[in-house]
Amino acid sequence: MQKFTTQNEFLNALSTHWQSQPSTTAAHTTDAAILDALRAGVQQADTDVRQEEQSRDGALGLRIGGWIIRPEDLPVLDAISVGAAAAAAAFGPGGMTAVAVVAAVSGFASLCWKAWRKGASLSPDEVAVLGFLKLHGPMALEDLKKMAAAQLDGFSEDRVELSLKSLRDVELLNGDLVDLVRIDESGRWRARPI
Amino acid sequence: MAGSPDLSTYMAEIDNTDNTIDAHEFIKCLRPDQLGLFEPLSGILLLNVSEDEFQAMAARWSKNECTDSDIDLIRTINHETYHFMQTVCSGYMYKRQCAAFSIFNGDSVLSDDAVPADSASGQLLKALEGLETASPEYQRLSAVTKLLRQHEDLGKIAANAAPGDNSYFGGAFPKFFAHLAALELAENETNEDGLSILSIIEGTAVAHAQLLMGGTVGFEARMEAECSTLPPVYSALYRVTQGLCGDRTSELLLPAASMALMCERPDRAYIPILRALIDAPSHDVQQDAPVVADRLDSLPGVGTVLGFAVDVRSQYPDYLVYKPVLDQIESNAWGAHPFWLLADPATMNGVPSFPMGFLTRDGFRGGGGLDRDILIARMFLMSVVLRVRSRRRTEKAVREQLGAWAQGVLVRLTGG
Repeated sequence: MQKFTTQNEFLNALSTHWQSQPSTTAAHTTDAAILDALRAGVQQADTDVRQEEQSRDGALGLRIGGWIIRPEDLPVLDAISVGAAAAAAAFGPGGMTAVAVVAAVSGFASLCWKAWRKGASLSPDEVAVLGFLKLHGPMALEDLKKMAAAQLDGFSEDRVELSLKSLRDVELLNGDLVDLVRIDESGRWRARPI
Repeated sequence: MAGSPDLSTYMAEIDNTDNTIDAHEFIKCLRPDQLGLFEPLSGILLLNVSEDEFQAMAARWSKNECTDSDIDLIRTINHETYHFMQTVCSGYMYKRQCAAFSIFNGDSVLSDDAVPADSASGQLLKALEGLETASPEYQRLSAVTKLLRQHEDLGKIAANAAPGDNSYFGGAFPKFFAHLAALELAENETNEDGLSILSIIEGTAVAHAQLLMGGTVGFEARMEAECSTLPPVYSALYRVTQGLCGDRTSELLLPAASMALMCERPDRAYIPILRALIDAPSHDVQQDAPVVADRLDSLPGVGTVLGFAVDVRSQYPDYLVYKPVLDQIESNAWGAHPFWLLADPATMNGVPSFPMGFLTRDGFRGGGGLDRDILIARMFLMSVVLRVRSRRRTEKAVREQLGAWAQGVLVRLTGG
């Protein structure tokens, strides 16, 4: 477990982690704009979550006042980075504008980190599918399955559908059940903020 | 390792297999910034590490090869163990649990014998009366009745839950959780000295762990370093004490706070007690503390004196979680008076074992030879207090079962 006194130190450690992954892995991210977007997204989520107080229920817990990265955070951080890198690659010249990609990556990182810190147990598959949806915008199920299976490394259409199903039934630490994806009025799937 | 607990007291393996109960379901997931937690109603310590991490730390500890993270973890164990000691030694902490248990004991919106006759399950129960219990029809209707009871209970629980409370137990025990919410408010109220009841409970645990693990030499530097990483509720007691008694802080903080926890309002009692100890003639806390304790009633602002846990327990005979421990303390089997068990960290080394539940994120064991069934019962109590079970999840499961049942009925009726 790594401890940090300030949010800035914590965010710097995240950037360092993302940059320090072997360049052969999908989690390796060097694009400065994407890194900044990931960092901004996690910062937003972290600020929001820390403002939510939790009842003690009479228990006596030892809480630290600073910031921490636990070993179990790392796979989630890597999955977020993978999703962001895939998006950056997918939206090359002629695709989404750079500003729009950065905004979408930031929103995706924020959504994932907030859900994770609130107790959602997200698998790398779920993070990848959530990221795909967040970055590509609302999509019909068949389009989503086909596109995600084609663009996400090693994904089948069934695997995409299974992740979508579990993203509609995510339990948080406070006992709430949330949908991280939903079907809108036009019948298309979209990511849902929590 | 000097000054650290004998970890073997937490290592006793327990048979985790059970055909009917998976006690892992009772374990609370803690927030990432929570290192550990002591739930005092059930007497269970929960560490926010996996079983593998804990075992690896224990292996390094036994070889005297602890890392900085290991030291943090051991300090957390010492911190939470001190809360256990506060609970079984001090009058305030023991009465706090007894009062909560009394309300818990008489509070549930669920009742086995109160099925309204006009409810769906009430009508089905009436229909069951005319059937042979061995008949398939009875078995089928009985299962449906149970499902409907669950559905009706969930309705009651939802109606009684506080806004935003999605847990199962929050709405099932509304008076109990209202009591805990009021307690939290009262214990967080900060007085003009900058102290709250919670700051005394937590501040002593921080100081105790530092003194136990590092002694008095360099105490202030270590406290300053640790306090800089903790929220104010953990550091306020140290800062206030340091401001009043300077280099006697390591000597007087725990005795003054231990005496304050003998009182109904520890936050109001602390400063008068600390001043009395500072002003006492011998300047030796071993001699001064008994003198100050004898005239606790006469100190200004101290209020009602409760005494120790062993003094309070006769008022609450129904609360038995700590009975064996209190029997041991009363018979002096722990080798020290409850005051010194709290006031002098060295006395902890004389405690033969700490009989409390000890949980990691994915494992559990009974410290101090705690019986397995008792441990699981206490884990269940802990799961209620910490609201482990999700009401939303249960509602969804019951809805799905009811849907499947309705589908089955339709299939039977239509011959499909």
